[in-house]
Amino acid sequence: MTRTELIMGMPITVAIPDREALDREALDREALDRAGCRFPTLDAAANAVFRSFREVDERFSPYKETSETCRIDRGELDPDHASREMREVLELAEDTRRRTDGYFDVRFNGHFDPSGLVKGWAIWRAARILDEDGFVSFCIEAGGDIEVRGANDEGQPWVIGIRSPLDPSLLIRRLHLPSCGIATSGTYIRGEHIWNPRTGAPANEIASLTVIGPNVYEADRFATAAFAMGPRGIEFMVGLAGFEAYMVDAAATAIYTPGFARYLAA
Amino acid sequence: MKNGTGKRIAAAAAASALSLAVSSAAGAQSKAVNASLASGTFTGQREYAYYGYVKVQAIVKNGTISDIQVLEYPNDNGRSRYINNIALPYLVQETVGGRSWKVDLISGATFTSVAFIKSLQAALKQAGA
Repeated sequence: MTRTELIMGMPITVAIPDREALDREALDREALDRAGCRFPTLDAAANAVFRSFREVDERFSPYKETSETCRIDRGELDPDHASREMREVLELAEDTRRRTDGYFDVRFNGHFDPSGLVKGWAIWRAARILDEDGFVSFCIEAGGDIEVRGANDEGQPWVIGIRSPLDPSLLIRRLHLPSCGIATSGTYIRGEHIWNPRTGAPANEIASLTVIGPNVYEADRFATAAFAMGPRGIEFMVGLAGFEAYMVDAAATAIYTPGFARYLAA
Repeated sequence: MKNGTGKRIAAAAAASALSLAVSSAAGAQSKAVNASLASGTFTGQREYAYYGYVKVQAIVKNGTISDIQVLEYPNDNGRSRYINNIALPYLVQETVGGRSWKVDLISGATFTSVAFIKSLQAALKQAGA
């Protein structure tokens, strides 16, 4: 089952192999009940994922005047009195800012905008819903960032393509991924959408940077920060344990960390 | 401390260039090296490794690298201060083209509004629509 909805201004896709439904028939429902699993159908599970994204959108959107993000930006809401979710994101943002030497900052040009962190966090949050419901294989993708679990329809590792930053109709690499998170920051069609908060200049020296990490939230935040660093972003990633990265420049040259090779399909 | 940083750059650059040089020799353009090696002295091409140009020479004995001479490496430009906590960091380089593979999902940068439509069209095209 694969379903896509447009939420937060981007396509969000949930893919769950059909065998997950069959496997669940064979499970001990009493045991699942005791464990708190609700064993929903695949469609109900997908609905819960989309509902989670809509909640995140209401709370964090920089485009909705009533969102907590806009209220904090206007000075109407003290972050300390914000929702539990907002406070969690703010803590994660501060942690990211420290760990990326200031390259990731939710406060820029006098505005508050945690969008760079929220997408990955929202996918990760949605994945935990499926985890708690006992699903072992699925992918949740939002705007090109993906949380990967288990195996695909054929029982094989999920096959994930890296989109070419130079021609979005093409892929430049095909990956076989185990359970992990993958995120790509880039300049593609939309233009220079990531800015270096230190200089205020667009971080446009490289075309795209793909990061594989323990989960999509981790991959996303470091992909964003490392991309903002420009060419030396890949070196930053080499020094980050538990992460692998693949960087492409405007001249179609790719550079990747040694551990990335294990994910590359022929 | 500055000297230490310089050495780290050399180590990273040397390993990067070495990996390129040996993989080129083995005919495997984009793979990191771990296969058995022929004995001899190998000089890598002058390669741009993002932090500058590097050129190295490797001496291989009994299938293992016994020595690496760095013939050329960039000056310390402060870019490698993040490289730490790992024994021998190196990067692999390849030239990318474009293909239309069948995949489960695609990782790429975010699209919105008009860009999203373009992206969707591209995706559908790839899916064979």
